[in-house]
Amino acid sequence: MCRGVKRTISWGLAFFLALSSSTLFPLVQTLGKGHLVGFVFAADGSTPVAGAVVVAKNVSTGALFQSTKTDGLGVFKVENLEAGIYALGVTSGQGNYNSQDLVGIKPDETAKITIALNTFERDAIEGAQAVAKEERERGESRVGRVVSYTQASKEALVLVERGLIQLGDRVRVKGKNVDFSQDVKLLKVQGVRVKMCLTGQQAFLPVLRPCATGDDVYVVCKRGVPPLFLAPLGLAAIVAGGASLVTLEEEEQVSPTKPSKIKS
Amino acid sequence: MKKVLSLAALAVLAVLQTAIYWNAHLLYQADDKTVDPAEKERILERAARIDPWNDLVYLELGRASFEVGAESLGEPRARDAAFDKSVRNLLKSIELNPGSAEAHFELAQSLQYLSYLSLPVPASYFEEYKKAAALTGHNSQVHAEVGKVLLSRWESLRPEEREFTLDILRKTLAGKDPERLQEVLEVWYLHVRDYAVVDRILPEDAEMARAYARFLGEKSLSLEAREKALSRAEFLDFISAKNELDKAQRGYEYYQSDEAASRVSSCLRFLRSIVFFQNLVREALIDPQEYAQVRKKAYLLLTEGRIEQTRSLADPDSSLEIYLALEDQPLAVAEFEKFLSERGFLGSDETSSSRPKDLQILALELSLDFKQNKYRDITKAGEALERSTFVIPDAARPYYARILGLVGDSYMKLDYLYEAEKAYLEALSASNGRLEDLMRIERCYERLNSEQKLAEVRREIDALLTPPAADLGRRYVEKARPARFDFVCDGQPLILTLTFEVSRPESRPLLTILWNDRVVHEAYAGGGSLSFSVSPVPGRNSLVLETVNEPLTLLKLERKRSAA
Repeated sequence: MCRGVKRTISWGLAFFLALSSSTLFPLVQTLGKGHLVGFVFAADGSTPVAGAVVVAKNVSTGALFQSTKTDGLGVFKVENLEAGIYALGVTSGQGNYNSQDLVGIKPDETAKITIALNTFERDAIEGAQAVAKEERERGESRVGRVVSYTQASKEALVLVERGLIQLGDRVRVKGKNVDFSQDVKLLKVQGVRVKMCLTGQQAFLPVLRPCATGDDVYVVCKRGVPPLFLAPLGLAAIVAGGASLVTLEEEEQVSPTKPSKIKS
Repeated sequence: MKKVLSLAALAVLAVLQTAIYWNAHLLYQADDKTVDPAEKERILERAARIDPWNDLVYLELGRASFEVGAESLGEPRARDAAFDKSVRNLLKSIELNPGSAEAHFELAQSLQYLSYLSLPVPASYFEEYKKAAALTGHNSQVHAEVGKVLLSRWESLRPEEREFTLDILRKTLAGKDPERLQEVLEVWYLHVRDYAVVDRILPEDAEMARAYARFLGEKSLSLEAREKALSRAEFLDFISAKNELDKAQRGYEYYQSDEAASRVSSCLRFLRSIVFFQNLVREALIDPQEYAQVRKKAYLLLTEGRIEQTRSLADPDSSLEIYLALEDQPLAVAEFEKFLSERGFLGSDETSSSRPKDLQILALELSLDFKQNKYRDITKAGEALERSTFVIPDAARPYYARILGLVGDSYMKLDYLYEAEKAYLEALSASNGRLEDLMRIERCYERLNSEQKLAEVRREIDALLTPPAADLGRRYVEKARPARFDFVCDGQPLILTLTFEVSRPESRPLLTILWNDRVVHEAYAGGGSLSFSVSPVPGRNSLVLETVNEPLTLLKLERKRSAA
């Protein structure tokens, strides 16, 4: 009987050792982990970018993961990611691209995303690099000041003194009487909607609170996550998939007796 | 005792009213006056303590806590606590008002984040999204966001869930917002790729169908689905063109000329957008004869409207010329001639504004006569012109050439071949060797069996044709920026071979080829070349090349006669 037990234990041990050295073991190890697959396209959203690498950083642990190089169709794959929320960046032959969006990974699931690489204009690269550097070092980068505030339209005219402000950035307006943060959803230069405002330019920016002439404007780390690359060549926009945060914007009468409080 | 009770009741009521007022005031303070989510939380917690039955306070509190969590993703402890608080408050809000679509939506978002972070979730985010969409009235943003979430889980959806998803996506796209369609299609591309799904959610709108077709082309997906979408878009444009034409006609009847002219222009814009993709997918949505009728009528209305307004035959946009080229019914031509005569442009009336008759009007008159088979009248006019001692000014030479061409054509119809030859040769001399006149002469010599002269004129024609191999000078063609070429042909069917270069070896650019404003070929072209057949008209033809998904460099265009 005792010999039988010993034999069983020996066989069990041998089986475990065999399993651990076999190719099956990685599968056992990956249980509970998620994967990320998707496409990397150029700015037009349809031309595949080959040879790019997607870098994913777990916002909780700081762990970095790299994808395989994208193939001719722009397909990449990152395997065995811990479940969590990830900040992304893309490294291509031309340079590095930071993403302002996040991706959620669940255990035993494969998240799919599509990324479009939007390269900055030549004169925006330097500004973007300056902002990224300060965001990494201090969590925020002072980019300009409020020139004036229009009560009627709730817009601040902001002069960009260094770096740049772009759509999707999170900005902080800090002055004697105000200190608030908000996402940049609209930028207008001389009445025309623009994607970014560069050094020396003035742009109208709708703001959540009244501010005053001279208030400082900072670009801050979005969702508390600093940019992945210090010298970005552009933005990696996640056009599908990802873990977007949606703010409902339309007015809707939800209940006939209680007025809705949806943010406008 | 009664009095005391009444007073006590009043006091309770007053306290309640004050609590409700103060609660609403704090909610307003938090919502409209406060930006910092942490501060918002503090104010709303006070409001909740004062009146714990207001679901909106808990909704805002849930939102604020979620915002706090989302802003501190890098700090796990604070983040998890904030998300947990957000979920608890949103659940409380739903408990107080189960019909709130917003609360379900916000809860779904919070739960989704909790599930990413492997934190315990009290409910399924997926179910909450579904509830939000089901409870939403007209809020298309909720429909759109939930629709995308559901679409991203298409494979795992039950049949009834799929129907629900299609329903909300259909509502989402009913607004015909191309950006929203693009977002939905991106998700569809990643997770679904079933064309039947898009067919069921796409609204009946030409622009949306074109946006879908463009998406399919750009992503190098099914050519058949793309061409069907384009064919559908053209059909819808054709319906719009007919509607605009009806309105234009009514406008002219009620003397609203400007409005009517703008309607006709709009009708023509719709018609110009139709290049008959239906021919590529063997569909018959638009009857080509009806299309021709509508086009002809539009040009006639435009021409008549302008003549009425300006009292002149000036034809700045060539609508008169196009109408005459399109019109093939003698009765309709007679009607138009009557219209012109009644307004004094034609005829020998002394009071007419056409006096003194010039060559432009004579050319017009003879064109109308030719369309009405009045060949003898035309030859008589030709004889009178020959006897006259006109000095033809340079500016009038094109009209003179046209008149002589019509005279020659009329002689041909009457089988007076030598007279026709003479008129054609004069026309050729007046037009400085125009291809059309050379081809008329060629037809004349064919009937005269004049071998030697025929060979001679054919050599002259060949010299004017586009060479068999045209170097395209490495012209770079960007996506959706068509390249146009003029192609001079003798009317024989041709096979054209285009040679090009692409930026990547594995590239398969999707090329759309238009010949004389009709699509003749569309294909993913690998290997750097593409051949297609065309049926040219004698003279100038237009060739348009468009690449849908990636740029290319054009090298060469070769032509050879088709065996057919």
